[in-house]
Amino acid sequence: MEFFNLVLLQPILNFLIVLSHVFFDNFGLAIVALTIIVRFVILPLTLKQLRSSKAMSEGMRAVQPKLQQIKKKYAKDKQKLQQETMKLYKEAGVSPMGCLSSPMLVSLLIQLPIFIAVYRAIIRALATTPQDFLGLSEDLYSWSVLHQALPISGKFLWLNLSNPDPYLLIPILVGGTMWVSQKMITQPSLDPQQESMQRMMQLMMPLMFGFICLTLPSGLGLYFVASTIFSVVVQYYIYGWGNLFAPSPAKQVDRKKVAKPEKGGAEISASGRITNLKEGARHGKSRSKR
Amino acid sequence: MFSNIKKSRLSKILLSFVLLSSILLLVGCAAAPTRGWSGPAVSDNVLYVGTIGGEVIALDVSGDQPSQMWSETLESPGAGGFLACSARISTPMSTYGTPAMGEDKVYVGGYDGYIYSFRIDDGSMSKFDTGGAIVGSPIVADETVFVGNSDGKFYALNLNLSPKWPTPFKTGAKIWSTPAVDNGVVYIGSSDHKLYAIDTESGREIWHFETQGAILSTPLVVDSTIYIGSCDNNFYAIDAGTGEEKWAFEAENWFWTEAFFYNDEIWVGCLDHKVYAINAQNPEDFRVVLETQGRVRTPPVLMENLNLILVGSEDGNVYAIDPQEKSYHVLYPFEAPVLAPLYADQEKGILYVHAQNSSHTLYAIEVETGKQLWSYKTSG
Repeated sequence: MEFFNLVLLQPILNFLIVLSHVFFDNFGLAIVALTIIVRFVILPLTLKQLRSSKAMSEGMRAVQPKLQQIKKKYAKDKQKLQQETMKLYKEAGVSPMGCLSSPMLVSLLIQLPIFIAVYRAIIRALATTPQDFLGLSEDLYSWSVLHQALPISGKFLWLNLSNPDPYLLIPILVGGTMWVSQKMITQPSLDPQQESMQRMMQLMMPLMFGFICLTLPSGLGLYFVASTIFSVVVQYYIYGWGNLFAPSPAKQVDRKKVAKPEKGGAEISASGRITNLKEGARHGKSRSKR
Repeated sequence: MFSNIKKSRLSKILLSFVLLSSILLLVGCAAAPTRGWSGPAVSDNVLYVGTIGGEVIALDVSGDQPSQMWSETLESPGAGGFLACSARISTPMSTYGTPAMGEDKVYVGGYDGYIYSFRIDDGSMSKFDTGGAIVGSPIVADETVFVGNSDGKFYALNLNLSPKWPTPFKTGAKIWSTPAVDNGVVYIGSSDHKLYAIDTESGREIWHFETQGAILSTPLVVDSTIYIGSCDNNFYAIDAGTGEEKWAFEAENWFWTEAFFYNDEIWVGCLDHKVYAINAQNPEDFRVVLETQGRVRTPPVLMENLNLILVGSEDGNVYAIDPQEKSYHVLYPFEAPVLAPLYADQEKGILYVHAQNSSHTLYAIEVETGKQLWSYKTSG
């Protein structure tokens, strides 16, 4: 913990307070500026993570038809099924662990402490209670500019950054931007279970974050909004609008059920599973190229 | 099919668990429980103190053990909100200021923004809403109660809590400092980096002195000089008549306490863990009389008959310093931060300490022997 404070938290905290002074004691602008600066510093990691993620999802999509064939072929021999599946993944150069594959995990693990440090630096700098302010005295460098900038004024637009947003705009923005960001990068799955999980994630995460922002200081909400908007911009650079405006595969399938089936098109089994995935795979791949 | 459904449910439960854990972590990181650091005040063998839970209690300390006479819960805003903890950030409840004694009443500033008065004989209460959290202690002088709040407003109230000035004096930021009155002038520090001198009758500013940091300390007035520390790491001597700086002494961290005048020296604790004794005329002549393992924000107090200066530290100790011998010893190890002002009962030779452990405990220590006479949990 001491190491975390010394290496990450204190430098970020002191820099944040200096930024506040630079922006004429406007702590809201300082939060936005710090978020953008930090996101730029770790941008190579973010890009690497996004590119790996994109490659991984494209690879996964590409092996789906073969995977389904293997599943059919070795439906009764689970051990063989597992061996063949792993072999297929290895040949295609994809990891069954998805986002937990090693290069992505490493970049995530590097980014996570930085996000936590920024989050905690904002809370510490706001120092709303007397003991928080007392605690701040231990974390500051001996730069006179820091003394001049304190205590932080929490006023920003209609907000008191130490308190929750009374008009609920920040929680709505947090939830909204988070939903957009997630919708852009989530590749539609052809597995109904996975699809249902993804849909739940897309909805639950923004809802939960929006919900907790109802009671968190709006300064933290502002950080979430700025950070997520930055993510959306970076994702746009990598994926375009991604899947933001794309209907879910279930809806696509529904449309195809209503329309006259085309040759080689997706067919739906009695259990609702897609049995011919060539079209779906091609569709997904062409979309990700956009 | 069944196993697929089971697997799906399991995944959803797992996902929900991860989400919930992340949220708890976020909220947990944000929620800072309020501690409070109200010191004790004693009058006629009755001790008054504010608690971590927003109460004021009156204890009869005439016997071997204290007995509670009455307690009043201040009108705290309550810990509502999601999971009941995040709301503490905006609505803390603990009592920070030390009670101030009037003739027949005791005055307490609440973090809920009210200044309360309790009748000493029966504990009956009246209150006045200042509109902003009160952190510094109120003081009673010239038949007036003076108190500042976190909205930056400074009030002068009659003893019945009716406003004395037409409007409160407005500073540019939070007032967490305790005022001092001398010769018809009240001095108050503000987080807007200024020390103000205000006429006690009219409420008009006489002068202000600006530093480079927030002023949270309590001014000490001696021989027409005001001594006060700032969060710019400097301790200042200021001419009370003109507001001009006489000298400044630089330490390694903020000053957030009241100084003590002893034998032509200014004794003051600092958040750099040290207690300094500075020559009142020449700041270059100073000495570090004590270096502790924690921040020092309790004002030094003198136990006259033993000629010992007592000071508490965040390291959990109260130190007894012999100003003549220039030596010190640990009077009592509390193993809990001591941030609240100490109270020395000169007649009995007892030191009352309100330590900041998890439940906040009040201790009575016999200074001559260093023996604990009793302890009393004020909260928890």
